[in-house]
Amino acid sequence: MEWFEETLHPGLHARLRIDKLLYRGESGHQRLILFENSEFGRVLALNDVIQTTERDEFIYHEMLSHVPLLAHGGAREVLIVGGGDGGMLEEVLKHSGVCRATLVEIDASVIDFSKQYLRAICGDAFEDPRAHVIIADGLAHAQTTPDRYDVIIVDSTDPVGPGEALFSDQFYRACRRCLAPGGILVTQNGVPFVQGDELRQSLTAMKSLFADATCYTACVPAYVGGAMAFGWASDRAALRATPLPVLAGRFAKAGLDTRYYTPAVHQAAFALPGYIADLIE
Amino acid sequence: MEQQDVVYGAWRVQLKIDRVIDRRKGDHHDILIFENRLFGRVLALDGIVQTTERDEFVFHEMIAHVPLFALAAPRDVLIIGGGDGGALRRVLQHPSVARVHIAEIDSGVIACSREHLPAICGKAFDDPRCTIIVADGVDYIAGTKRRFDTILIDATDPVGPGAALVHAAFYRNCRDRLTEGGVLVTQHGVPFAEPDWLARPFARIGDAFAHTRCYLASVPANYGGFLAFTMASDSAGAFDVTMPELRRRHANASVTPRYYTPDIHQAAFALPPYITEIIA
Repeated sequence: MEWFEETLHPGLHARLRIDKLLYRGESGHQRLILFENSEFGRVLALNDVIQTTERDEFIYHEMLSHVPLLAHGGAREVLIVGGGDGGMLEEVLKHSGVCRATLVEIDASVIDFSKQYLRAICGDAFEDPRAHVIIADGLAHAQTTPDRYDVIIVDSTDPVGPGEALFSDQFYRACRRCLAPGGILVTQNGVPFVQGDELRQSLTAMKSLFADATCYTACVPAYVGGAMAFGWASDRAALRATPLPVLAGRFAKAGLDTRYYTPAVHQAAFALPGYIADLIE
Repeated sequence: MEQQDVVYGAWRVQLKIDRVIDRRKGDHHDILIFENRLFGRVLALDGIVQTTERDEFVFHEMIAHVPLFALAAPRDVLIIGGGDGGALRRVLQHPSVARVHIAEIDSGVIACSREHLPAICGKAFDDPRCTIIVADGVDYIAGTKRRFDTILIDATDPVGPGAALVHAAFYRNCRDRLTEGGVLVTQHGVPFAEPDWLARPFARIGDAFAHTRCYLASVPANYGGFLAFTMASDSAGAFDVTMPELRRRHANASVTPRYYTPDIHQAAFALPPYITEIIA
């Protein structure tokens, strides 16, 4: 029996049994494998790093979409940078107030895979008339688009290879440029226990650009190292402290059926463990 | 050479053994302490990783500070298990604590920790307030006449020596040994991976106590999402501490936590629906 081995962190190997290999190949930008595992369902890995699994994807996707969208309360235009598996797009489109969700993915083949193999994750999101898919570099798009977004979600890979540019000061500046007034930028920022420097660098850049910047956390089973961090930046500081009754009202109105997100979990996610708060101070 | 920590059949996490520091047979466990470049020194019992130097603060702060700050002035504390001394060290940081009894089944675990894991236990075992009892926690709680303000169950997984620590009779005996308003805390592993380790004990604790709530922490060396704890009491007081009061208690104690904060204390009780479903 073949095993998939993730060696992202020296000294620690996570292994998932490949019960059924569904796809293995290389595209211009990355090495991709898709397989079935009896515990996690279908598992997608890029460059030997697990990106998403059927059984735990809900945590990451709910927390990186519903938190900014419900804190904002009136988002109509949403930009997703990366997110070729479609899971984020599906969550964003659950908000009926969203008129258009623009997904900018560098690698068209990831989207094709997802449509073919990961329907449990993307559903019919790519077929939604409000979905606007652009195959392009996220940095270039943010630097040049004439559109303005209420929420920007950076659903990137780790800061190596093609994902690296999405952790740069230049990229955060470009995001600020195309954010509508009162808009919110959220970013995937890895697991601070093992990738603390990446979080510190991102937050330093965000703090220099936005009136308010912090991070919030979720605990994702397929990632090793404890809580994962999401960057949060906005020029409207009050948004991160949106009162619980307001969140609860918006959540009820949105009619979302969630398995990780609740308004209380939303609020709790901004309470940072000491070791994470220290990193971003 | 690898230390293999099997979480599931189809899902394994291996910590590389960079150097073996000690390997011995304890009274009940095969004890291994090794060096790993990511987690520092690692304690494994019967092949299962229990704690590591670099991440132990998360688990130990959350099993100790949450119940102790939930009470105004806890004096008597019992730890069942906890032979690595990490929970003991945190308990002793609370100035109101006058006595801590630790009932550990395997003296070898304590000896190894004292010798090789000072980063985890510090000098806690030498503290004059600490009494070490080498005994099965089930027998100890059934036989003792003492009463405790807080009982912490810091045990191995509910297989092997840890199996009896999730039985209904054990939880009832714990309740009977608590002072009025006293609090019991236990851990349940990772519910995403082992929902039964939370569901069944939680229900049994609920049968024994008037008030039972689950809370969570993200433990880096525990692959699989949140680790779950239960806090139980016959009085609602421990669950109703206001944020200003938690902050006051925290400021008055000589703790220097790296995970726990009063905000984390409150946030830890916000449960994702996938966990709420397990204990419903």
